[in-house]
Amino acid sequence: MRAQSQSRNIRGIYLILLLFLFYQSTVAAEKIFYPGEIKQRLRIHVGQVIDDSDSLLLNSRKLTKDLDYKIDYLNGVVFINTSYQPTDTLIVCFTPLPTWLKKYYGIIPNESGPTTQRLRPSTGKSLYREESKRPSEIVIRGAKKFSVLTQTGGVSKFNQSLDLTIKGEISPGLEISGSVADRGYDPEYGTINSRISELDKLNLRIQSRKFYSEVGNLEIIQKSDYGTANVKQVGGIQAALYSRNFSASGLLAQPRGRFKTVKITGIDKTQGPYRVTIENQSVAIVPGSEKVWLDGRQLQRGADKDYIMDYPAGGVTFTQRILIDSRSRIEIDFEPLTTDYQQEIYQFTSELNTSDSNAWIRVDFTRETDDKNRLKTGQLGSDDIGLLRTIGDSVQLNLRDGAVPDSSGNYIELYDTLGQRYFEYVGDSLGDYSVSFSTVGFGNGDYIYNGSDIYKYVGRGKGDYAPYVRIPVPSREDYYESEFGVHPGANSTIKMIVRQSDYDRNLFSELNDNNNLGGQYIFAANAGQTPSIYSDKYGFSATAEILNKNFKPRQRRDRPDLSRKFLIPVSLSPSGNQKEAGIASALPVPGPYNVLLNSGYLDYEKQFNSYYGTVVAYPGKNNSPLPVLSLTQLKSQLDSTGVKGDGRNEIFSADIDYQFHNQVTISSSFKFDRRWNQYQIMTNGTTERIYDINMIYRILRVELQHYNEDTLVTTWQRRTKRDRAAFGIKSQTGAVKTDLYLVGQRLAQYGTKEDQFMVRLNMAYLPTAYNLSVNGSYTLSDENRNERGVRYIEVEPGQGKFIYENGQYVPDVNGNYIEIEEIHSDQASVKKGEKSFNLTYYPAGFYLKLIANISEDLLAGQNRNAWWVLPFYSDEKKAYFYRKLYYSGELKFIEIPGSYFINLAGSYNYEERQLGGQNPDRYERQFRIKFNEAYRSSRFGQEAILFEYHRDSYFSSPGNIDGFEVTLSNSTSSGRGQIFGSLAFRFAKDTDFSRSKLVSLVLQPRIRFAEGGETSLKLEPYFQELKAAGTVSYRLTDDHYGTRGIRWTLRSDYKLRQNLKISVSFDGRHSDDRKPRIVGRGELVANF
Amino acid sequence: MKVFNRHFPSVLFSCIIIILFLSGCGGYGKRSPGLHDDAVPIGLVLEHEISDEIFGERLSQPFGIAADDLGNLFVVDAGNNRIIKFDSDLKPLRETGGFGQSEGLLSHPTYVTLDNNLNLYVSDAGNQRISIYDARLNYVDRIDLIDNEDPLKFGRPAGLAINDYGELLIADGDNARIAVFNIFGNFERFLGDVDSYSGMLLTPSCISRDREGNIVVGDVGNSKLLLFDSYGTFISDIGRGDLARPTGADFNRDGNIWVADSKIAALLYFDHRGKLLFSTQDPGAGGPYAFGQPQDLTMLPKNRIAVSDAGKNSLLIYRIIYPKK
Repeated sequence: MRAQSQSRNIRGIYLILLLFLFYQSTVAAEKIFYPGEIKQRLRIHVGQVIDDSDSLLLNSRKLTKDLDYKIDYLNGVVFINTSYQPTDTLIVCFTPLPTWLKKYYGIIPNESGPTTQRLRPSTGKSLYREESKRPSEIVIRGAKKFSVLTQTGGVSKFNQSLDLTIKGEISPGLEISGSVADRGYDPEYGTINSRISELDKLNLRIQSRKFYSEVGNLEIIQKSDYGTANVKQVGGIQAALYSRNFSASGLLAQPRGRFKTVKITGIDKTQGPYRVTIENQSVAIVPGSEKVWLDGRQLQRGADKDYIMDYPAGGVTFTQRILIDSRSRIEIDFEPLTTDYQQEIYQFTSELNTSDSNAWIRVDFTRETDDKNRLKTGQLGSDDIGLLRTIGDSVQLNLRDGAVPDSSGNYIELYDTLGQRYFEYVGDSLGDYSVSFSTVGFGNGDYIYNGSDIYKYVGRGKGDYAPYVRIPVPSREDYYESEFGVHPGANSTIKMIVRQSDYDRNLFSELNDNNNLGGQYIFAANAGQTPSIYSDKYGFSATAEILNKNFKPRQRRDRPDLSRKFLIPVSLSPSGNQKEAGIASALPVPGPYNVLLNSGYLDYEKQFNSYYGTVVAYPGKNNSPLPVLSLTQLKSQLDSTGVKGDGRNEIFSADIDYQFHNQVTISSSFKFDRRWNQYQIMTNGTTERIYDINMIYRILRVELQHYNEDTLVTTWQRRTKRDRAAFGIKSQTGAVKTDLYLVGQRLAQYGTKEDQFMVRLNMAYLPTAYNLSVNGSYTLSDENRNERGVRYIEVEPGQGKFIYENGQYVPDVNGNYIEIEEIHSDQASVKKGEKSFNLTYYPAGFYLKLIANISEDLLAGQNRNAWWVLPFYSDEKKAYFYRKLYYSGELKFIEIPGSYFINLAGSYNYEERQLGGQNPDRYERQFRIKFNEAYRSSRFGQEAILFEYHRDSYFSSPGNIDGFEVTLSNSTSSGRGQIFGSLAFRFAKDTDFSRSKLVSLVLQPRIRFAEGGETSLKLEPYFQELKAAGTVSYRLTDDHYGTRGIRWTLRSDYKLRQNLKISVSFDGRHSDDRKPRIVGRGELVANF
Repeated sequence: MKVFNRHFPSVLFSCIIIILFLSGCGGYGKRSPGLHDDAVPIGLVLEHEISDEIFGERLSQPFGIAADDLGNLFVVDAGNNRIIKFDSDLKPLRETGGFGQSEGLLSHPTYVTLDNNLNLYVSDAGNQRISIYDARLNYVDRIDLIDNEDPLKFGRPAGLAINDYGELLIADGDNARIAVFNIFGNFERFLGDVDSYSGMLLTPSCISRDREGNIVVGDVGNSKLLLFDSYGTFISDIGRGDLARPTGADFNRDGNIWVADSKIAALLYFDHRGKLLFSTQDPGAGGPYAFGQPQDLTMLPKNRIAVSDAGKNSLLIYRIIYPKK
């Protein structure tokens, strides 16, 4: 027996070797017949060609075998039947039969070889691989840049950057490729949180058949027990070694976040934003790291899909496709952006297989930890560390008093009628205390947020903020994982997974560390096909899992909505170990139906257990008019801290999914779900009857749902009825593209009825050949919305859009403040409407552009009229919770060489918002007219601008300013340079009788050097007549100061050598009422 | 993990480069010889046409395309408001986008460009901004082009290019000029506006740059290409009389220019002096070629060229055929 087995093994090895040899030697070939070389009979190969390995391309057309050509595989000859021109090119791809095969066996195989090259498949031959085979060809390209910036009265900065790409082969078989971009800023998460002088991006790979290593921004796959694997973005280094039976890999990196999951219950008529919070604190989310589940179903991101994310604020808003109400169960998996401590991850994996791959063992170790010595923001004081040492694992006690006596603080101390202390905001520097607040969850705090860093006391337990400062607590998670598996037979597997977690919640404290260890033990076996309603063969699977109560998973472990599946009490907090088991088997039986049996068991030690059984009858083929029938029975028992009670669940469902003639797809389902329990003193439960029918016919989609729920409170009562209908069209006919989605819902609950309606329409007409583009989009919905305020926050110097000067935020491209929109606590019910329209049309000699973007939250009780369908219409007489309008239009005509003679442009940017009962608004209006003329090498321009700015006192630099500006300009060029000059007069006035008259002259010569380089100078002397008292809005003066002054710029770029460039620039600002400011910049750039 | 301070990758990379130099195995500074760069093509052969469903949606009005050094291809699927990444085997790897205004979502995207193989810049025309993704299509950042202080300063973005200094060049078709942003995303200056004389633009569409730092701008309003040096100084125009609506252009390694013209539905090939060397409309060019509306193109390794065809809603990969040596 043993000898026979060895003989079989040797034969098998020979066969594998033979196939390998065959694989290696059957290399695809290609022959090109250039113009003039094509004949009716063409020899493509001296020898035999593998059957069906041929593809012929005549210019851009693929030829059809037997119709356009015939081929003699034995002699390697092609016969062309189709017509061809002398200028045509023919490419023939084929796989020649290996010569050794003919020599030793003398047979002609009928099957095509494994490396047959085909043309026009869904995937093609690598475009890169062949190039990289050239030995010792390594190409490095890039640029190195040094820059210095200095300014009077400010700090000087030195910066450097490096851009580099590398590609090639170090030695035969060892490839290298990579890029580096060190630009002195961190683009990982927007400019808001950027840090200067960090190496921002790097990616370098070295690989061979047995080795792989990568440095830089990496993505690692985290396997999940449920759902698809998570992709984690990290920065670091990973390396792996491969051999035939063994592999090992390691990773050292800094992650951007660590896995978290939250559960949210929907609110009636509130599509969002729903805040994603950790310990009641809003958190920024790593972009793209989220997975959103609704009632157990994973959603897709996108305004034309299911939801949109606000990553910096940590919020999710659902689109029209998802109507949220109080029965919606939302779960969000995400990675919060690391803000407290620098995080680190270490991972080591090794795997060993037997030579026949029928048994394997895998061992992993992973550590995800905070570096407690590297706090990202601020610094911990000794008191803070002392507090963290004493609280142990009670990390929710990481709070210290947020009130600090401060004679220039903003808050005063008061006492309520019960003698409890609270704080009240009294204005900037008018109080006795500086107070920091933290979110503690609604109902746990005494304050609400009123915007602009102002917190208002609303009474004990009526708010969501408290006057505390949270001290960040560093934590560490270690994981050990082992997996043993065997394939005892064909299509069968037995495996066991042992995981252990070591979770230290507070690295500063050794208290409570005795419960850090937790374990998870999984046993799984399967035979045959995976049991599912899509399988038509026998299959069996069984899983059993024991979970220690202290085990902390690194990613999603359970299916979303597990608690509903097993009828787990909402208030249950498992205090013991968890056991879970399940078996499933698919049984093909004679007749139209197959049978699937499924059962599961869940046990929370000494608290709760639940088990169910399901029988599914399903048709054996994919597209069947027969329904899938399913019946589930579940029993559960709660016995926890003196509370005892049983639960029951019965589910029956019937589903049909059928496609008629590849045209109409109908999905219809009925589900009866009755569940009740005695977990509390009273018996309660629900019976749901859900009727669904969906139909798709080409571009049309119709979805109908009727939901009926009876509620058991001692007796069954009809409580909730929901009817939902949706209708969608998505079409593209020529240049017209339409996407319409309309959904309505009526929810009848507790004797009240509530209607919800949403519609979204996108239309585009893009006949690009006619220089015309029209886009329109409409969205309407009824929703609850939060108040939205405006706030300026400080960011890294140079990364903001504003500077704070004279009590106002002044636009500055190198500023250190940005304007953000903040969400307040107050809500209102609104009729939301958004529409946008843009049109561009430019036939010869004419250019027209129109843009309108309108967003309105109409307060409840108000109604829109039919005129609203007009793209530019917005009724200003209505009462709005929030309204934003943007219009822009341009018209250019009478074409002169390279430009238009008449240029008209106008814009209007308006917004109003309801804040604390007030309706502050702001707007900017501009209208421009400009004439351009050209005469030989001269250009002339005449421009007039009318402007109007309005801002209520809520906003920075308030006032009503209007005025005009007239500019005359001329530029003339010669062979070596160019000179530009302009004269401008600007007049502006405010409603408080402030006036400014400004006359400025701009002179800007530019000289280009023959060697390669240029120098330009810009001089702008001005005179200003200013009649104003106190702080003057920068809008009144256009950011010019004093009665006279000069602004100037000198810039010079010069090529020192072909690949070396130097650039120097100086900017100056002088006026008679403030110190001069001069900023100098220098750059040296080397390309290679 | 102190070793992972901010300088570690720089040091590591520098060491590798030094080792490569010392070992003498680097082709440092040398340009890889192109097999046929100096030759005039005699025809194009269609190797692949991708018009099937990709991640559940068929391509709809594909627009801008860009390729990295590894042969990965990034395609703007404008009709579906998404970006698709293909590997060098043309296998779809990932998609990102979706219609909307939130970060990472897109509204009528047009062109894309790559910065050093690491960042992908997308012209998000409908949202009037540039969205930035990493090479794995994870959302990174954005540059807003709506300036509240001067709403008419920028229009909707079209073509994009990164120059040797890391500056981002954005074609502003609405305002007939190129806006230059520095590496921090702050506006620096304009090119090609009314002061540029012969280099004045009317409706710029695509931008491309060569290895010397020169940039070429497709001007669909003036039906030609305009060539500028690295300072933005106008050098010459190209294709006057031959082009109708140049919406895509790319330099090959020899500094010559391939152009996609969406109006005459053709690909054209000019040398850097502006001489027309090849056109798919020529009778002797190995046609007929069934282009719908070729919008953009990008050069690929091994004499391949990728073309986005909005008329046929497909992505086309052609091999450039040169005369037999």
